[in-house]
Amino acid sequence: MQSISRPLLARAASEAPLIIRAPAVLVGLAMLLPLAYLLIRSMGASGEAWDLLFRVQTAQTLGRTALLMVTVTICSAAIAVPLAWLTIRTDLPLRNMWSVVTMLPLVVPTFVGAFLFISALGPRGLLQQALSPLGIEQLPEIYGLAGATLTLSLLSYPYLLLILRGAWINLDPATEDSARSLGHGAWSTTLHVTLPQLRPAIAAGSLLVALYTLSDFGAVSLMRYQTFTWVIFQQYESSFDRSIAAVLSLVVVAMALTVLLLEERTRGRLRYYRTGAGASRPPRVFRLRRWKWPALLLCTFIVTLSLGVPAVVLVQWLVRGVLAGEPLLFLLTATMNSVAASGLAGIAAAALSIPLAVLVIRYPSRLSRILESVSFIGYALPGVVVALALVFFGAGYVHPLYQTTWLLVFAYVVLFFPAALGATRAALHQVSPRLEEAARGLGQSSEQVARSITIPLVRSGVLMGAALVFLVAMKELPATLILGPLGFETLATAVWSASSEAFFARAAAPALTLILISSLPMAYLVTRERRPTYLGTGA
Amino acid sequence: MNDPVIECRRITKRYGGGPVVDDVSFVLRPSEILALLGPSGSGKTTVLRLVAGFESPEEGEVSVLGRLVSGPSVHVPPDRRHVGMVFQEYALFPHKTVAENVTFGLHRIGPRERERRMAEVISLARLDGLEGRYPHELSGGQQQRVALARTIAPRPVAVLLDEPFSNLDVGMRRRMRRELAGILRGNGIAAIFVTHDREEAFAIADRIGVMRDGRLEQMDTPQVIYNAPAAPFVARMAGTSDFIDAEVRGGLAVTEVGKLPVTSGNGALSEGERVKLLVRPDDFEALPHEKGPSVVRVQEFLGDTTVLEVEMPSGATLLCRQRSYWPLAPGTRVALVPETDKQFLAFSESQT
Repeated sequence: MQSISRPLLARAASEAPLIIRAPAVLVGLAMLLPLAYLLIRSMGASGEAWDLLFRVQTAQTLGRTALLMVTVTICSAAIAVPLAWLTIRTDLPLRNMWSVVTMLPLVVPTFVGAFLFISALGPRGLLQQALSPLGIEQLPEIYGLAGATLTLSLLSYPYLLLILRGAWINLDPATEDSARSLGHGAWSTTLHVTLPQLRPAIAAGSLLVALYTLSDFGAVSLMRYQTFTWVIFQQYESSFDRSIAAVLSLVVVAMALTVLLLEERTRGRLRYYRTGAGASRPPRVFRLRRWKWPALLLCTFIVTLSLGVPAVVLVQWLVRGVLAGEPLLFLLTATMNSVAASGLAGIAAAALSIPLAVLVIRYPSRLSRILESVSFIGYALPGVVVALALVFFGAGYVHPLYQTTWLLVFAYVVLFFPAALGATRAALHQVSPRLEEAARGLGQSSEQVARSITIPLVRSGVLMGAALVFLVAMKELPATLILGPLGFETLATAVWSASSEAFFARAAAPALTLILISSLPMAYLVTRERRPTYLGTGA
Repeated sequence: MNDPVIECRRITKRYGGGPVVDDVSFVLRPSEILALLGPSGSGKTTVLRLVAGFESPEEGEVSVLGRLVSGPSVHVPPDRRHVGMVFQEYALFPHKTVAENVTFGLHRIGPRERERRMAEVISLARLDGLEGRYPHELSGGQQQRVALARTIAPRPVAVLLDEPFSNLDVGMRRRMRRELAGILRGNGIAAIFVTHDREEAFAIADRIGVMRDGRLEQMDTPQVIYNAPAAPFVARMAGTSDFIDAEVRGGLAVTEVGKLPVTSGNGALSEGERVKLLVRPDDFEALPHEKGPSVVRVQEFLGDTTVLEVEMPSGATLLCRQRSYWPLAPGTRVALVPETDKQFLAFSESQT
């Protein structure tokens, strides 16, 4: 009898082959590296650094950071929930266009958004100039909590919207019909049946927004709102004792863990899915009738604020800059640097996600669960923290890598790996092992099956993961600032250095280039079916 | 007081193209159980949704207890119709316990009365001890009983059930339908249920309405639907049917298997008229006969009975159900002998 060789990617009763297991374990260890090194470094910190932890300023920073997380999360939910409802359940005119356009703020980096909002809505910004014929001399100050909340909410609500839309589309409309036939009106049904079922999605999306806020560096710096990321960065830049930054980073990690636990709590014993199987009829569309105009106005308002205002201001600064003879040549190098580093990170993250996804889906075990949780670390760790850890690590242990692009790419991979893993995992989930077995039964070798069945079926999912990583890496700022080799300029750092010194005209060209390049993977993503798992939060 | 609980008068519903429900009229009487039987896409679920108020008809009217709820320029929303609905997938609220699901429709009554009614309905549906469970922690049959308990708790004037047994396995289905019919009848609850399974319809309904392409073809008792279908389509929905060509001569139907007693559902048969006779598998017995004009083609052994596919001289085939102790191998020549006293139902050629 011929011996049976197992398909490369098929499920087996025994353990995963070494060719899957070894790289998966290595990826898990690599993800743990920054956190582990941060802990080691903090252990060796001076007593002075630890004393700093208990100063009043630290408590104040903590309070400010937590407050911002709360306000941004609430505002994002207030924007995302109505938008999701309007674009899914109503007869809003141009519904499909709105569902794409409302996702687009995702391509605007927060540091770009912040400088544009400052110049548009600041005390003597464009809005004030437009209003000056009415006798308005000065608008209220935008810096601080208000400006940071505005910027981060308008640019991060799409994360929540994305997850919420996925859940809402899959929601069984029969539960709503059922509530109606039990004598509950439209409002009561929404309040008691629809929204509670969406609670896990709202919680998961809020988690994403809260962590995004915690890790943001660009918006809070430009808006002069001192959160932990800003304080850590300052400590790193100015202090001789860099372990102070390491100790402060631990506080941020603790905050992220707290948020994660809170989200876990809201789920509890409930599991939300349809109790039956099979196709459900499409949900009834709510007719807006005379509410059509207010609804359109709301969508237009959000999109104008999050996309329209930035676009107008950006073009205006660009024109002003070109007329003033701002150099544009440096753009070429910066663009190439950005694309190369982000592209490498996208490819690496997507490639590394494959063995781990195979292990998680095809060989579920304790090891695979642990590795999966570990790989989500990137979502909880702000770029500043990961970058710091890698600086310590690079300077201390792998000196040849220190001050090279490779360390930066590695930071990107650690930070954004969850996005790639989520996409690959979702794609692989669609490929039933039965399919591979059927192909084996038709006389194909395991290599042929992988080439002709598995890879074609998962390819687009893996590519989406790579596109997503590329998109977020392009926008990454703090890690790029800290880890980029000397003289290494990317679009993000170019915008940053110009706008932090208020040379807005000089920031406009790289900002616009950055947005346009980020739009390419975004276009690829929105034309695909949108699933929450592609953001990698379906853990 | 025998006024209809629900009355539909000539309702028509279109989605873009042709009508999904086409000129349908019927009444549901107090304590009556009505089945709507039809293949998928025949519009039966849409009729339920029109009655419940999830859709509104383009033409026609719906009344509940004599009050107009759907009609020209009238649309009473589902929450004000007092008509309960059990959904195909049950649509239990996944975030609420059994008790919370059951009391969800009792929001208009006081807490003490609510508790009392809940206890009553829980025990009626044999859900005692499961009050604190969530839907995903229940078996399929329990989920269905929760759905029914939730629906009848607010004492609706009628209950609508959309394919209530389609999510259960075969054995469970029989038990649940007996249980469900028991609860409805024991409490005098009028109900309309939709199914594509004739056995289900025959087993619990007082009357059956057969639907085809949005039209109500016939509505009558199960016996009439089976024995005197108004059209060949109804005959096929009601049971296994074959049709054989015949010509009326001298009050008998002349067919290739002999002269047969004939009757017509609609009017007298004229001499010389060409008709189709409805034949059920039990109408003929196949007797082995060396010179028999027909031949057994397929023999299907089913345990207590055996079904034969018999080819007649013209090449047309009939199904015959036999007792199993009489094996007839394919190729055996047979004679087809009609059951004594059987009157064969004739349809005009245009009807088929």
